[in-house]
Amino acid sequence: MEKTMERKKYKVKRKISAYEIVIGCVLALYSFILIFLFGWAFLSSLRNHGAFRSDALAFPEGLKWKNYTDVFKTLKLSYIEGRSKVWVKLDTMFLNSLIYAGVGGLIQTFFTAAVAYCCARYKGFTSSLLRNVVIVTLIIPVVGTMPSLLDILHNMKLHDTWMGIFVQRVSFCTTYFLIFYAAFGAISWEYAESAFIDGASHSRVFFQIMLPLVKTLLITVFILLFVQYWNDYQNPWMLIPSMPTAARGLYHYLNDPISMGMNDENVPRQIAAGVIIFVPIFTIFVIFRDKIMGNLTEGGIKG
Amino acid sequence: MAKPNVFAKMKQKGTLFYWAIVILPILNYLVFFIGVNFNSIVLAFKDVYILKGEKHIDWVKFDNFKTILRDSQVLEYLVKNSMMYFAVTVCVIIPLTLLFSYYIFKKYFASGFFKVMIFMPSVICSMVLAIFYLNFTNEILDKIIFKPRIALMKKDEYATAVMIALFIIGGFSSNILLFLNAMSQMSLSVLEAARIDGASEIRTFWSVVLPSIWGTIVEMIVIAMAGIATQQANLQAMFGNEARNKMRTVGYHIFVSIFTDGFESETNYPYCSAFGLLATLVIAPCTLISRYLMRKFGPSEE
Repeated sequence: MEKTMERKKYKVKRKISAYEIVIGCVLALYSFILIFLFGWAFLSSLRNHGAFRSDALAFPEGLKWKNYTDVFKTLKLSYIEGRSKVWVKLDTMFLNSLIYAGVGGLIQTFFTAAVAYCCARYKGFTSSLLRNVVIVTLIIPVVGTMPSLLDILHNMKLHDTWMGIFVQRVSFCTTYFLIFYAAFGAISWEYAESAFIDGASHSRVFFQIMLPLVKTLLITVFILLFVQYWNDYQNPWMLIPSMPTAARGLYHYLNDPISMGMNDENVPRQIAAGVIIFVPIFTIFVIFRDKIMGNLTEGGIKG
Repeated sequence: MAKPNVFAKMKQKGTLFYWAIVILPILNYLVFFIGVNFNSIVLAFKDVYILKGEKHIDWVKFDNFKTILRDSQVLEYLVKNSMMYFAVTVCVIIPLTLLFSYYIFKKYFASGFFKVMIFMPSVICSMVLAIFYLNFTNEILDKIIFKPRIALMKKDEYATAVMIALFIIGGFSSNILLFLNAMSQMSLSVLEAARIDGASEIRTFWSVVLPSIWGTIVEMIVIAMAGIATQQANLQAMFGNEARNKMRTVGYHIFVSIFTDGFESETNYPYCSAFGLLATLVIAPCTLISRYLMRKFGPSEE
């Protein structure tokens, strides 16, 4: 009886530990700030500029989507082709984002996984060299190589081309290499041996047996890379200036509205532009949140 | 007797498959890592200029480095600000992320919801966060909360505080999963023993959790240190290319130095490369030595 009382007392004590209360309150405050910020931004995007200026905290008078339609009309970027100015609209920017993030993410996911598989399963000098190259490259910080990269791309005539972007994605020196390496290393080689006995080639074993076994990991890495590239505006700005992505368009919409032919600063419209760019990636996050936030470890996916 | 077919032997051993897979990534590494870095070093000692519409390149020895060091006032701001963001990462973001991670690891109240909230900023484009945050600062903090209006973003000291707050808000998400992974690999029996011994939450955290995940903490600090000279701290998203000198970081300064009047210009490449090389020469050894020392003298699981 006494023991039961003690246990109950202990449980009660655990529930109300100072740590839990303090950190819980800090996390609640943090979440409140984020929810308030995003909620306020969404509501503000539904207001007109005048009403917003007079009271930034008031609720919108109704669901007015004019700012959103205005963004689709006004958010455009120009570049010079020959002697003429070419305008790129938001729908094309979304398409560019999709190509930049989708194709780039696919290429990088495939090559990282493929090289990791080779290194994990075909032991030898080259494999250990490649693995060490990844580790050294990840450890040593290198700063300010963008000008040099631009210089090389200009010289190779790859600047401002999709090819110039995609050849850069045929890389393997990322943290994901180590994750794939551990995942392939943990898979029993007996699957492959059985397939070899049945006459399967090495490429068939890789594509039809090994890749499906790490499918979850492949999807997770692809989603993470897709999100990273979708949000990237600096690299597309530098490397593919005539193929602007949506994130880059948003950057110029905020920082250089005059270049888009707008001479007034319309805050709700700017916020609406932010919401438009935010919605696709937020949807992906909501759908795949368990995969994205799954325990991405060096042993693959846990939990 | 027929000679053994070398091609067939290679096919059987998987050599052909192996090289078919790795050859392109190796070439990529040679061009886009080795080549780019080598070219960056070479560019640092060159001067590129346009004369009568034609590009000219001269060797200028250490002139680019002298130009960087000559402007000591700007350099001082850049180093000070970059170090400040590093200090915020190490002293505020990493410790708070650790405490948050432990809360989520222990599955306390609403931990699943808080995990999503902490992680969310990492999937949002920094431009989107900047637009929302900048307007929130200008329209609510500045107009409604601080009366009379103090023009937060126009004054360096206030603007820096606003930028640090944004840096902290977006800073937890990148580390949280790594800390949670490290904690999930801790020995549960040690945690259970601490609980049975009546150790408080803080004591368990300090004496059991911290030593168990010290390796991950070291890696986080090393990543932050390696990123000192690349950290742009949302300056590009908030101010475009026009952030004032007093607010600039090394990473931001190098990036915007590529532009002249809003356009990328090849004539600026040597200066940026020299700045990058200088930063790498200082930061790379510091990072490697710190990593070694923290691993050697940090708390042990024993």
